[in-house]
Amino acid sequence: MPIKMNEDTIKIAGLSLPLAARLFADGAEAGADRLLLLLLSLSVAYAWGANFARRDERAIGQGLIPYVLMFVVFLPSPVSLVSAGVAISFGSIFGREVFGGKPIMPPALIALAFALFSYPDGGFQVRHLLNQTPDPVFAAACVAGGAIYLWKGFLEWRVAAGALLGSALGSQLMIGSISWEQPLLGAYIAGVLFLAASTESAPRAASARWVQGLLVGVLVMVIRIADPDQPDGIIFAALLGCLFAPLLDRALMWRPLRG
Amino acid sequence: MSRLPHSMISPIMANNPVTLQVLGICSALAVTTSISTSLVMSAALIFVLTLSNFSISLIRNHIPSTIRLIIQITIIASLVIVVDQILQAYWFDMSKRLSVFVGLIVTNCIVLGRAEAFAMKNPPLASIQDGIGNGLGYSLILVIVGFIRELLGAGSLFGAPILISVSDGGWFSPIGLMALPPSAFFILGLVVWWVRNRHPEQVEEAQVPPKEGAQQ
Repeated sequence: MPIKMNEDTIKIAGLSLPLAARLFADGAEAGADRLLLLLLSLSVAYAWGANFARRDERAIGQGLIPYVLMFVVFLPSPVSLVSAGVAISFGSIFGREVFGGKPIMPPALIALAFALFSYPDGGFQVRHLLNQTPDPVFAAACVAGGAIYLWKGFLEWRVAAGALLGSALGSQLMIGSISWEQPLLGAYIAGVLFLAASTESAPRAASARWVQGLLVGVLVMVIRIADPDQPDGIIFAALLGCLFAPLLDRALMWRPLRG
Repeated sequence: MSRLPHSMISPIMANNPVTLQVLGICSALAVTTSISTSLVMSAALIFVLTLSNFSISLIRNHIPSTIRLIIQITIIASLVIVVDQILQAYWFDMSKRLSVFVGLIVTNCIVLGRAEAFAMKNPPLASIQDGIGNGLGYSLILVIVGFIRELLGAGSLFGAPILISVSDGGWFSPIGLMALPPSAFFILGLVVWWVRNRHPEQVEEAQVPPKEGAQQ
């Protein structure tokens, strides 16, 4: 599908919907904190991007603002500015800049995985996920934003569909029944649509995309239910899904395409 | 600096066993959670490497080449056992913290690598210098990684608090990832990157040439 408009503009449009839903759920005070966090994260990411761009004599790579927006959208509530700054720096360096500004997997995923390892109690994911009430507004905003992504070809629907199927399978395996509430809890929808199903890191082969989606979906449920330290699970499931992409391609196509 | 022999200086930066030859990575990940464990591990490795290089070089002309690896490993393992026993006898806490990794110096590729590549072909004095140089090169990297990991992962150096953490009323929140082995991979990667920026001749040619427009 040809992409005419600037990619970043469309991604920002897609991500502003879930961001608005988050701000709406935050209320005035926490909403202001989240906006401050967004501002700080943008300046940190921009500082790294500009620094590396000058050093390598190239333009600042695309996707800087979507990266930061995605990171902020994922936070269930505002976190401390120091830890967010460190996580954004890690994602900027290892997710974007050392590869010349072209990410190999969503940099927000790298930043969030770093934050979950580094600050287990830092508020980067919800505690006691199963006691949360589902947030249908956020989920609906993510689906709407995902629709914009899908329309412009930034979202691989096979992965997303595979993930839903996989979660049904996983919940059948782990708790003996299919839970329709699970996808509405935590950052599930956002993670599946914007991280796992991102075309940046999806496998090439259609069959491999289905398998990747299934893998992510099953893993979310396994992590959610079996690991009390990772109540949300979507970040690590998406991370593993992205890491498996080249292997799935090779296994299902029998020749390397990712060079 | 110029008085010191080349074989002792070059492994510290230009021909570093860890950053250029990527040897001894296993222990560099495992024992670098704090700077004190890094230093003790470094001292143990320098001791083993220097003496193993020296002993192997002394008898290099009498070692039948068909069983040379067995002889080298026997010498290295004996030295490692000595270090391990001394640590257990006189510094039990440290021995506990280093756990199996002192024993695993036997399998450290740097030691066997230097025995095979240098001590088997060179006289004892040069072998000692080579052992010290390579040991120091390994130590430099271990201390750098240990410094960064202890400072950022625990906010302390040598166990003394430097950055006061939030739980003690300061501003610093310890980066938990730094306490986990994967962080050493990231730091080592950054160190290798920094060294190769300074010494561009160390950069290997790409094994798979990048295809124009192959991705995205």
